[in-house]
Amino acid sequence: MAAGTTYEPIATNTLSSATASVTFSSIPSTYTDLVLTVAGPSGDTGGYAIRLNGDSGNNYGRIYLYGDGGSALSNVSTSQNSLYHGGDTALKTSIHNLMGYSNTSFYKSMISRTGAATAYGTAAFLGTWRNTAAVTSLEFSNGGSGFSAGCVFSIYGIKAA
Amino acid sequence: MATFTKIAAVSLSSSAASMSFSSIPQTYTDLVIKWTGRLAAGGAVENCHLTFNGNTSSYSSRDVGYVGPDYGVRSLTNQGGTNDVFAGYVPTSGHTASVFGSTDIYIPNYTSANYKSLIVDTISTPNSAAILDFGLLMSVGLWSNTSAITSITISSETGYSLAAYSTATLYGIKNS
Repeated sequence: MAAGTTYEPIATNTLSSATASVTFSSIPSTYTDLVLTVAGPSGDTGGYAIRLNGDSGNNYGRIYLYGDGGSALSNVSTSQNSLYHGGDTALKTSIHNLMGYSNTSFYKSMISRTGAATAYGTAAFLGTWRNTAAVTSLEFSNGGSGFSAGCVFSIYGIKAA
Repeated sequence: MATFTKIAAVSLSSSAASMSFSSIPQTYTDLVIKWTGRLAAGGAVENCHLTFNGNTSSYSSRDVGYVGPDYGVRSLTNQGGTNDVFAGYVPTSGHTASVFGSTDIYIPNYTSANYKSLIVDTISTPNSAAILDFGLLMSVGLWSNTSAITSITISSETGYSLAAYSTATLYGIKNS
């Protein structure tokens, strides 16, 4: 079977000014998995949350492994109001893999890698959204100082066949 | 249009001091390097590092992982110093034959006028109880330089040559 091309850009938003949240809506259901990337410029501070389909209830669980360059720790929580929340401080670089986002047979899970080398450190997160609905919107929100101008948000679709 | 395009690949037919990508086109948004390697000399497992544009200053990193069995879970700052940035674990000639380490590196916004960050995930697996070191590490790095990245060089932290059959592939991702 010939392989088709995949890993297609769906949407991107490069901030021209600071904002507290960025939302992607009407996400097409035609892919198998999504890859989300967030790259903040130097000086961009604050962790951020990801919410699916506007759900801000305590319907998310997460586990993470984190190192700040001196200590390593891990934590699990079954009642969170977002799928992911980074730490704080500058230049956050993040990659999120959301598998089976349009499949209505199971809860949605996301694997994330994130980090900021000058502070905060690096971490891997695994999150679950306890909802079988297809994901049609993604909200990135920063309750601290917001996302700085120059921050880039991108969504890519991967098709399994 | 699909992205994640191969830009270049390096595969060593004999040992060499480094693997490099030069004249990197500036037409993508992010870069990905997937590489496997082994050193031609050394102890059991060694660090590799990379530099951008031949620059040997203004790097930083933080990591977390398992380095065993001597160290267990640990987290370090600026592993290997600040003249380059951590780019993966590799087994050396002291390790079981034919064992190579694997590393995945993501570099977003490599052409921007901001500082450059990178996420590095690496593993060098054990294959013998007699081998003292193996590792799984997640790292985030920073090059505090606003220049666009036009070249990348991967080499051993300790100066050992990369062994034959070490390979590295550079991919470009375009977000529009």
